[in-house]
Order: sequence, then structure tokens, then C-alpha cells
Amino acid sequence: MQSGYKWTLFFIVAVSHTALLITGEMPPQLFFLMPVTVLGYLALIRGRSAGNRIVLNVAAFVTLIFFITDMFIISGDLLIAVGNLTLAFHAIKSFDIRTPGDGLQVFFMSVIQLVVASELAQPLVFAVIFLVFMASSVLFIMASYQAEEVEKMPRGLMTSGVALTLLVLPVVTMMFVLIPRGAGGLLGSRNRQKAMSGFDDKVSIGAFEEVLSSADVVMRITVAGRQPVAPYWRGKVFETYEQNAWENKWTHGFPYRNRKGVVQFVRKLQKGGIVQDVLLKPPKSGTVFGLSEIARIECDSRWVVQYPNGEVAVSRRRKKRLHYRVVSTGRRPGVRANTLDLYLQFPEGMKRTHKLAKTITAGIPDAAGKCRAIVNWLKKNCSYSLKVPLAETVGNPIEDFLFETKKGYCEYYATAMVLMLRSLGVPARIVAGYRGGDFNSYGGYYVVRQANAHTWVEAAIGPRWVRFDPTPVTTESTHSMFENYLDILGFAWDRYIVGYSVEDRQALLGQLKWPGSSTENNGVLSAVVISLLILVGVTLISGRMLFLWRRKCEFRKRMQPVSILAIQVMEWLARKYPETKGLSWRESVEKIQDLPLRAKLTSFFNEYEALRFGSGPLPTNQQVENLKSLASEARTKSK
Amino acid sequence: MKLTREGKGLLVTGILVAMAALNTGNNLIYLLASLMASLGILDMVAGWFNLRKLSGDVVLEEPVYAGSSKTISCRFFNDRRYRPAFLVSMKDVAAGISAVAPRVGAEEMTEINNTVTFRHRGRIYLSDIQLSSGYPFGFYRNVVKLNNPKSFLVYPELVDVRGLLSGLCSVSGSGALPHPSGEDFTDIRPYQQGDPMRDIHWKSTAKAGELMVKEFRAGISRQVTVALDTSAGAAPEIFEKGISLAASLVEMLFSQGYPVRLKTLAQVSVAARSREQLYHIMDMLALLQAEEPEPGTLDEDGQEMLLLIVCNPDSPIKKLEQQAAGVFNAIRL
Repeated sequence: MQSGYKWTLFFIVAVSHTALLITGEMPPQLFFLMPVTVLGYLALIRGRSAGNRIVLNVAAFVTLIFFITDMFIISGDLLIAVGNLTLAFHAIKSFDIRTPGDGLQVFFMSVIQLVVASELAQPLVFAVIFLVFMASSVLFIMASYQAEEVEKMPRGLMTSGVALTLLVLPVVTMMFVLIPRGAGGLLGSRNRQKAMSGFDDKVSIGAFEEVLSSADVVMRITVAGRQPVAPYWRGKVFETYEQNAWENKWTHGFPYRNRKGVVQFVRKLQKGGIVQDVLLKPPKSGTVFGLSEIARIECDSRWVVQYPNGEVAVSRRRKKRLHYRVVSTGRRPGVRANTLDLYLQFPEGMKRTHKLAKTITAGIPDAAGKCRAIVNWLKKNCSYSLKVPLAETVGNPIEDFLFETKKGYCEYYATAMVLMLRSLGVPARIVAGYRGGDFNSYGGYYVVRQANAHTWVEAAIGPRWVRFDPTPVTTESTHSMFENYLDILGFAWDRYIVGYSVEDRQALLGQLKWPGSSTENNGVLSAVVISLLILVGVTLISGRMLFLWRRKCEFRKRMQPVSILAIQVMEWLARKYPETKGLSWRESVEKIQDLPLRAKLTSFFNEYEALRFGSGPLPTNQQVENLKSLASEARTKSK
Repeated sequence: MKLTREGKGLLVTGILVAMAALNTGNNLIYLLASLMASLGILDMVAGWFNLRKLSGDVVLEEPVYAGSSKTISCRFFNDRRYRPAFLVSMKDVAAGISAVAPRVGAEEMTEINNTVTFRHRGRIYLSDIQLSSGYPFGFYRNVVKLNNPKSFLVYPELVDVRGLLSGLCSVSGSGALPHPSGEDFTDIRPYQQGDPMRDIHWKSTAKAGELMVKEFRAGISRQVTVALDTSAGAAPEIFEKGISLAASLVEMLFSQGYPVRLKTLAQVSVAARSREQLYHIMDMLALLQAEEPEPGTLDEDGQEMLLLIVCNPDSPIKKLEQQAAGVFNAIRL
């Protein structure tokens, strides 16, 4: 085996190990196997002989026993157990590579390792890993086959390998796009992706701290047409506050069967709606985020539910990325009079809060004025901080916030305001969602991170719920051009690779119809594809015709002197020996008694036949000259 | 097209990955499944192109004797104008021929020489010879059968019979096996087909204007007949041993200058005076099967030397034992 082959194999193993490592999900107990694997490959590269078969077989058997124990007892998780198994087998196999076929087994093991890694995480860096893995796989498998057949790599094979590597990428893309999708969950599989966006149905005070400290991207939103100023991506609405936690009380909403991929909540959609295309990381619940008030949604879920509080949720079979498009009216949500009692619920034992609210709003008759007064008081007297005492240690975190520390974050501000408003008889509720986000001007979309998670207040003023945000605005982070471009790549990866769906496939294939064959199909893609196909077809046919025509010309040019020479000799023979007229050259030659002439003619005609009818290349000028000299020698002999 | 061991590995892994993709709906696993499928498809397409317009031929330097190694030339022809072919193998399992050409350039011929040893005599047919290649990845093996059926004869294995012949001379003295050359000739006659070149009398030829050959002492023939027992009762291995012995005797005697002929129960060859005639006898021996006696073949032949090879104790050929200068029992050898 050549050194290049061994290095490529080592590289492939390193790539798949890296993929598994960067998921951050693998238990570190078996990481000691990685240096062992490295040692095995270094020994292989240095040309040391493979390990003892008995020892390796025993190690493999022990690994299998460990795998079963791991799967059922230690980790209790099939994926982690398979990941551990591949780590161990890679380490064993690194000492047991004897033939190129063994290398191929290692490659298949690396594929399994990548499958496990893909189920554990899907970061952008996987794009690079997959690309590198694909390219190196092609070269490695080719080198593996070559090593099995011949010892030395033939000239030109590497070039051919590079060409195939370049070819495999578009073919993989095509296959990826065309392979029918399905997520049956036949074997009871569960998606390992962590739910990393959205909110639970119950949110305790203090739960936001961890979320707000994270810079992980939650969703990317493309807003068509215009950019909304200070966007509030509305999500979950909470009604009741009990035992230091907010809870959503609406367990049932109005379900819509999503047959055509579109659900509209209003009879007629007003012009000027704000269209938002959202790609959401695996959310905790089916609640969708969008600007107020969502009037229409396009998604692949079978059911869409609209709750009385204006919240919209979609049904999901598994925790995976959610891609949807919503149209918001931009109006405030309407108040349902029969549900207002729910928004006046006030927990017992918070008389100080009620007293404070009365003091702040003293002399203000209307609800809107009261709201503004409370917002102003909170902004003036309290400061924003993520460092707050634990809710469990202080008993009542909101009164602690209002009267003791006066430090907190959005959850504290909004809760305090809602409770003060409710104590004054103004129906109010808390809304959890995301505020703002970094607008990526290169990609034209908002990048919303965990740190953008926010809660604000909605108070029922007249027929509408009016938004109030008592939390002081914190400084927005800025991102460099490089970070923005990197994020565009991340968006493309999430949207078109990780988030590629059955609907995307159908939409893409739908575009391949003939232009005008469907009213929904604008035929742009099909026109491009058809034009390309026609162009390729025309190029191929004209290229082939040109090639044939040139070959014919070349053949005529090179062969004509040979054929003319043979005809001349035959004619000369017929003139000189009339009895040979009409005979083939063999018959003619046999009739000639002059032995030297016969020999000359035979060599001339043999040469002629080889040039004219042989399987070799077209005759060169030198060969034609030789033939001419043979013909002239024959004639001279005769004289 | 044949699926190789590696191809089966790809198939199994591919199915596993595809099942995982379907089960999880994870697009990255779909990506891996696409990679596996693409590798399979590319292997098929590139493999087909690799063998396109490719032909081959096998050239073997004759004569070929069983048991002795011979160089065989496998020629690969690439009639394509631009693309070279890689890792093409030529194989005939029945004939035991195998060669791999690492690269066959466009419009080029590549010759790979291999040594081959045939274990048994007989006619070897190269009708199953095929070009195959697993290029580029070796998951499938594209196979093209060559449409130029060929065959050649493998002559019987030659064994060392110098000991047998020297023993024969010493036992029989000068009369048993006359020396093939250095004796006075008695007459000069016109050349007949099959007469050895060394017997040509050049002086007389020049005078007569036609080829004249020397005739040796009347009454003593230098011709040796090897009579082989081909009766059906002989055990196959003994029969083969007898044939091998006959071929070795014929070859050795011919090389020493004796006109030698072969007689079996049903056939009599012409006396080998030239190499072509020797090969004619070898052809006979290569294809020889057990025979029933034909009338006349076992009749006496005058004064020529007779060497008898017996393979079966009950053979009718044993009636020639009386006039044989030497009798070799294949069972005992």
C-alpha cells in the first residue's frame, strides 16, 4: 500500500472523529481511544506490520460486549453507544489494516460515525466536514481499488480522480435534491436535536437568565418589502401568575386543517400585510413567532391552531427546524370581552405591589395613562441587570425586585407591570417572544439570537391589546462584515441543507414543468432548464457532426494517395500483363512468373492493405512515401 | 456487470444510511445517503466508459508443453481517440490466464507479459476470455466478453528420457538403435517431401538442377517407431504417463536426428523428419484418447526400430513385444 493511500485513510478517520467530537454530545470517557487510533495509523504509515490477530479479535469481542452494556445500562442511548462503538472499532482497526479492503471497511465505519454525528448536532462547520469527507472519499476509494489491482499508481489516474471528485459534488447535490423525503420514525427513532428556541407553557421567574446570556441563533427572518422598526416577534402569551411562574391557560384553540399548505385566519387579507419568512431552530413548542397580528401562515404542518389570545401554533411530529411564512397585519390584537376576567387574576399576598401601583398612578383616570406612568416609574427607578438573586431564596422575586434590589431583566419588569396593572383593575398579560435581532444587510434578514428573548406587556385598552415595554433598552451588539457573511452561510446551510423539506422538493420539481402548464407555476426555472438542455443538446449534436465531418476530411486527405497508388499499380499491372485484368491483386500476383517482381508486388500490396484496412492510425506522410517507393521499385524491376 | 465484495459493503452501508435517513428525516443523513448513491452511480457510468472501445488479444508462443511455464502476452487495444483506460484486466478462468493493464493510452496498445503453466495436455479454448474493470471505485466489475474465439494445443508434459534411451543403446549394442548420422550413404535420389535438409546432397543438386538427397545403407532403417498403448483398460494417470513418455521419446529422438513416427492402436503418423511433422505427432498426442485397435495398425513394419510403451497389461499392443527394441511399461515408471 502506498503512503498517500494510508495518509488519505488517516485523514478520513480524522474527519469523522472531528465531526463526532464537535457535536459536544459524546461522553468524554472513551476519548482516550483517539490517541490510540492516531498511534495505530502512524504505525501503519511507518510501515509497521499489523497487530496480532488474536489480541485484536479479543479486543473486538470485548468492545461488542461493552456496546451492549453501554446501550442498555451505561448510557442507555443507542446513538451514544454506536458512537462509542465506532470510536473503539476505529482504534482496533487502526492496528489491523492489512489489505486495501480493510481500508474500505474503515471508510464505511466513518460513514456510520458521520450518521451518528448528524443526529447529535448540525452546526455550519459540518458543511466543511461533509465537503472534505466527500472529496477525500472519492480519492480514497479510488486509491483503494487501485492498490488492490496494481502496486503503482498509473500515470493519469490522479487527474482522473480529481475530475471525478469535481463530478461527484454536483451528482450528490442532484441526488440530495431528488431523493424522496420521508421521516417515518419507523423504528421509534427520536430526534436528538435539542429544542433551543421558543418557550414552554410555564415560565418561572428567573428562567430567562440562562437564555439571555446565550448568543446562539434562534431564527432568521426575512421580511419582504420593508424593515419593521423595532420588531417585536410575538410568540407565547401567558395569562396566570401563580407561585412565581407564568402559565398559559389556553389548552384548546381553533384548529385548522392545513390541506394546501396555507391557512388564513381572516376572510379577506388586507393589502400591505407584512410577509415574514422564518427559519426557526428546533422549538420547544409549536408556537410560531411573527409580528402582530398573524393573519395567514404557510407551512408544512398538518394542523394549525389559533388560540383566543392570538397565539398561533403548528402541529409537529418531531423536534426539528421549523420553516414557515406568515403574513401579519401590523395591527394590535383584538380584545375578547368574555375572556377579560382571566387577565385580572392577581396572586394573593402582594399588597405592597398594589399599594405601589396606586401611588404611581394616583390621579390618573384612564388605563393608558396608568400604563405609561408605571412604565416611566419602572424605567426611572429600576436598573437592568442579569445578576439577580435566585427566586427560591427571596420568596417573592417581584416584590424583592420592586422594593429591595430594584434590579432585574425583562421578565421582572414585565411581570411587575402586569401585576400592578391587574391590581388596579386594568386587564393585562405578559407576552414572550423576541425583540429586535441583528439585521444582516448583506443577506437582507434578521438574525434573532437567544439573547433577543424578551417579555413585554399587553394591556387591554379599549377594543385592542396595547403593547408596553417597561424594560430599558440595552445596547445592541454590532457584527463585522465577516461575521455577517459567515451568518449568510449559516443561514443557507440551515435553510437549504438542514432544513430542506418535502415541500421544497415539490416546489423545485414543480418548477420543472413546461412553462404555462400550471397556473401556479411561473415556469422560470423550467425555461432555464429547457434552454440549458436545448443548448447542451445542440452543442453535443453539432460537436459530433463537426467531429465526424473533420474525421471524414482527414480520412480522405490521408487515404486518397494510398488508394490512388494502389489503383495506379493495378492499372499498370493490367497494361503490362493483360491476363491479370479484372483479377484481384493476389490472383494477379500469382500469375506473374517474374519472381522478384512478384515479391516486390506482394510487399507493396501487403503494405497497402495494412495502411488502408488495418486497425492502426491513419497513414503518415512517411508511410505514404514508403509505399510510393515500393510501387516505383516494383515498376523499375519490371523494366 | 458484477457486484464486488466492496460493492456489497457499499450496498449494505447505503441501505443502512438510507433507512436511518428515512427514519429520522435528518437531511445530513440524506446527504450521506446521496453520497453513497452517487458513488455507486458514478462507478457504474465511469466503469462503462472505461471499457468502451476496448479490445484485447492473447498471444502465446507455441509450442506449449504441459508442466513447463510459457510466456503469454495479453494485448489491450484502446480505440478511443482521447481518453485512456485504467486498471483493465483480461481473464480466462478456464484457461488460467490473467493480466492487469494499469493504463491503456488512447489509440494505443499495451502488452502485459505473464508466465503461465498448463497442467494438462489438450486443446485450450480461449472462448471465455473477457475484459473487465472495476474502475474507478471497484464496487462493480464491468465485464466485456471478447469476441475472437481462439484455441491452442497444449502438448503432453516432457520428461527426461535420456536415461531410458542410453540404457537401451547399451543393452542392445550397436544394432539396436543405429546412430543417426555419420554413416555412409548408398545412393542418391530426388528429394521427397519430408526428407531432412541435412540429407540433401548439394553437389548432386547443383549438377541436377533439382534437390537430391542421400540414401543410407540398404537393409538398416534409421527410422524409429514409438508404439503407444492406447487401449481403454489403462488407468487415466497411467495413460497420461504413457502419453508423456511417448512425447518425450519422440521429441528426444527427433532432436538426435532420427526420423521418428508414432503408432497407436488406431493411428499411425508419418515419420517426423521435419519440425512440422514432429508437431503433427505432438498434435496427435495432445488430443489422444483411449482407442479400439484398427486392423493393420499393429502389423510388422520391416526393419525399423520399435519402441513400445505399454500402459495396460492386457493390451493387444503386447503382441509387438517380440520385435520391439525396447519396451517401457508406463505402470512401473
